[in-house]
Amino acid sequence: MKTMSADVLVIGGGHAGVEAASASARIGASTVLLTQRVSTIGTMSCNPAIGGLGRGHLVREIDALGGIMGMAIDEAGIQFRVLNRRKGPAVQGPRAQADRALYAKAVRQLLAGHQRLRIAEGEATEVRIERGKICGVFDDRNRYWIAKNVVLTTGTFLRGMIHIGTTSYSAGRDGDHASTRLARSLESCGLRFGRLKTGTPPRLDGRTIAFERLEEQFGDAEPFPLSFLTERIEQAQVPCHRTYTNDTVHTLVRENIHLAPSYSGQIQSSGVRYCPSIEDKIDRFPDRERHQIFLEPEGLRDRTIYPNGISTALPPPLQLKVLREIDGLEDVSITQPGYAIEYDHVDPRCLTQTLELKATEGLFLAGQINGTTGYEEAAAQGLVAGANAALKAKGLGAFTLHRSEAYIGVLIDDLITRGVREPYRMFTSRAEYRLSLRAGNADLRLTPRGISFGLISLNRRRAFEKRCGEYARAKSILDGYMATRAGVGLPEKSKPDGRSRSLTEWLSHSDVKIDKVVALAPELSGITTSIVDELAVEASYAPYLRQQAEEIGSVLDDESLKLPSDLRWCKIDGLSNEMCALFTEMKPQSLGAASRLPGVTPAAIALLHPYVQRSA
Amino acid sequence: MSRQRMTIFAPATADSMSAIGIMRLSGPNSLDVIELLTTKAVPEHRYFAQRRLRDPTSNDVIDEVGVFVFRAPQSYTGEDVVEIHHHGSTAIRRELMAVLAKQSGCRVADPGEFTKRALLNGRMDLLAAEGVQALIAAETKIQARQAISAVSGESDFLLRTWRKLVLGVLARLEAEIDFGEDEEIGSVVDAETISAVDAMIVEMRHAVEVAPMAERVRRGTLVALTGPPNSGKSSLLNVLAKREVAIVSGEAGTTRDALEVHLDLNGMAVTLVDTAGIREPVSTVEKIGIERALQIRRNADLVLELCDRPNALSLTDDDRSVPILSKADLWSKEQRKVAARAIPVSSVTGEGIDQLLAILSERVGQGLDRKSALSLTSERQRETLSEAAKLLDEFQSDFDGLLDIQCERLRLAANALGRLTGRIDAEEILDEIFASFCVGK
Repeated sequence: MKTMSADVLVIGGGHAGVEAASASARIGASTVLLTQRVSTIGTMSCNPAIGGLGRGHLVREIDALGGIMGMAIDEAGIQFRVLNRRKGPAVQGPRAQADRALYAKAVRQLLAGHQRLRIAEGEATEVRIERGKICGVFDDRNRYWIAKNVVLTTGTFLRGMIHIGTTSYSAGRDGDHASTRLARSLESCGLRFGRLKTGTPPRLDGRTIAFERLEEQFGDAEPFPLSFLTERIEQAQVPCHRTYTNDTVHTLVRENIHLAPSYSGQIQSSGVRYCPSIEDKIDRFPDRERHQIFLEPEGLRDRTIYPNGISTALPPPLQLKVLREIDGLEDVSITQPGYAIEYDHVDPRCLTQTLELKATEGLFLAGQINGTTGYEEAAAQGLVAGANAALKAKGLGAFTLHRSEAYIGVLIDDLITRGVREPYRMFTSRAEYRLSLRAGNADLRLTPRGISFGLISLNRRRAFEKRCGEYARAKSILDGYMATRAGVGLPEKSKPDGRSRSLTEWLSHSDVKIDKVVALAPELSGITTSIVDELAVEASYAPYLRQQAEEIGSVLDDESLKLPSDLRWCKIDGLSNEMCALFTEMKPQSLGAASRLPGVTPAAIALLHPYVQRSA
Repeated sequence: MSRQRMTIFAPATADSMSAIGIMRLSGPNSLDVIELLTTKAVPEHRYFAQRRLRDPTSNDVIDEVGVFVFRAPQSYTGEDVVEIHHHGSTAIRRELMAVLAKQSGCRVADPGEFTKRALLNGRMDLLAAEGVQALIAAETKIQARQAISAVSGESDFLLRTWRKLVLGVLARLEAEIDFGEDEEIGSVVDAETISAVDAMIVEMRHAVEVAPMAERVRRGTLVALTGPPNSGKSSLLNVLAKREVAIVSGEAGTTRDALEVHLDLNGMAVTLVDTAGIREPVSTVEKIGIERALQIRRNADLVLELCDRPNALSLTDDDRSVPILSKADLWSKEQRKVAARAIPVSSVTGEGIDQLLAILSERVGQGLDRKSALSLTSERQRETLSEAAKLLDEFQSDFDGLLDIQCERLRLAANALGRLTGRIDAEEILDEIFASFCVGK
């Protein structure tokens, strides 16, 4: 047996694994990324797109913390679109279609730029834990990796089981084998698993689709990049197409639904409520006349089409029959059938805010293993887990984000306090402070934090400082320019109001047009548009942001009220048995965390007050 | 054993002669104790059984009783609760309490402790607990009725209904934000919902407006007797206090002032306060008395302004004021005409007393019929609800506003309503979305 060692060992080369490895290497820990196949690093196993609502926010935050996802998609993006353009700046989500091959290539190139990172091929088969601490990992090539800090990002590979129609077989993903030995090893260490399901649609041959009859959907004329470092999108931009299911399709699916694994009893675990299979859509919403399908290109030179919205695990001949009933797909051929996959996940309530297992020091989990779905959710966790593994290896303090600071904070807090009943996906509505957590200000919110934890390269730091300078300049222009009511294009009131106000002040009036105000200060034309936009949004939200700041302040007060880790919950006078059991299991670290536990009563919180440790 | 974990007991009925008295026990030992005292099996949950109760040390029979059992958590306090229905004599009650106090882990309950335990065990929300407190303190029928409406959950139900409506609208907007690009969600909020929100705002404002009336029902109406020295205030107070129609309650002489009388006027609690005569003070003591009188006058809901000379009657435009010509027996009909707007009253002959009581009763009752299904019993509740109404109003009047701002208004409004009952949470909104929408990738 060969013995190797690293400060941080990352297992898995998916979106969580690469961010974890990158974050750890950026902080300066000697890092090894161990993956079954080096050639599949950065693979997009499901849809060829990054970002979207809530997820676009995550990508911008990952980028603001120096992560690689934003830069990779900007290099590989073949259609950029900001969703929710008309619904308010806070809920706008940038999204991009990716050329799958270019994306994986960009990821590998970005990883190659990290000096402290080594990539190794091999399947982790067993973890070694002694006295509650991880010591190392065995792989299938007769190697033992000594590492005190290990990040596990197994995706759907842990006891993965693919289902298509009435057949099923063990696999980690189409074409990869499941990690069954690792699952057994983790189980023997006392880790308990749940089972989740997800699915993917069939892939289509683009040459067999009658695109000319379908509605085209173009990206934005001016692409909004996902990374703060990107100045221009270089790839050629292409359209997607839209088509719809119909009555015939619905009837066909309904008549054969007993052949779908989720309906035949073959799959018991719960799937993603937020991206249901076509079987689920038709079964649960019988009144709907049609469902949208977006036909997304998988690459510029790749003719494969990803039909977004029609995930299915029906038997392949039936998948083809269903698809051919759809407008534009009459002659379609399938290059790879859709399938459902069941896999093991860990109850994330056994993790701390750094994504380290409470019971096993040095073992961090990130991505689908924690019950989430989506590349962006996985990447965000990977970054936090990788950063903390590295910080721990270097004996530095933990990097955590609060719900009020970032979507990443919301994601992790939801996971570790609430657990998952179904694969967890991010939405803007999960973030109660979303007016403050915009995709546009992710750098202002997070890059300074990134700098202080060593996550930010010198390059990015300089770019950020330059942007900050521009912010300050633009702000002083907006504060300094005065205008009257008529000046900003508002109709006079019955009592003429000749008072001059600063442009910042005018922007907070709901009926003032932002462009009109900005046009009044010609100096603003010398400043990056995205910065002016961001300031205008900030000013126009001012009254609500102030209110939120107050709310956040009182929440953070509760967060700073730490509860002792050795508190004997059952000795607390008056605490009901139910609350006692809940606290004993969850061990909330602060009054704030305790109050967010599901089912907790205000009375129980009141009883915890006397046990708070005032921090110095 | 800590105080909080002990089994508590207390008489649940008043300490006086009655056909039946009830002793209530709550806590982990209550079932064991009752088994020991009756030497028989404990009745089933929510069953009533007849038992002979003995002192376990002397084996003497204390009483033939009924035993009613509620097992945790389905009881008032959420703990094991036993009610002992005994004969209502003071002697039996005392003996029973003495025996219970000797049982292991048992002690007499603190005031309100059963409700406190119910609250701590999550059997009751804060609103209901505040209602119980008011119910226990209720002296009159109307007070009791009002308190019951809070306890029985009428208010709670209404708040939950409102909050559900707000969350419903919020869910629709959130669905439009988070899924509108992928799925065709359809019209965001229908006309019916808009008018339901309008109606809700009106109801909320009404509840906020009538809350001071409700508050007056709860604490009683404060009536000040004012006037110059020796204008007959004390005599009038004494006469009123002795009238049969105005039953003087036993609560007299609480700390507020020695010179106050509690009346029950047709079911409405009234506190009548005599005040020092108002004139240029001659001594420091008198000065303090006058300042206090002025303060009571300011706080009073009604002011009986006495004057013992018709030509000295000064009319104020204070709508709380009821002018009274006292010592009416001293004045002729002609002389009284000068003060025609005052009620002539004589504490000596009893003239005008009935009329005064009738007017008092009418004035006290004024506005109290303006009720809301929602009873707000504290200033905190009142402020919170008007905050919610304001936000919803902004929401309604900015219908084409940006969705993220509109959602923030609804979120804050739902939070405010939630503070009155429970808590809001994002998962709740998502559940709401998925209950009614088809949402896909």
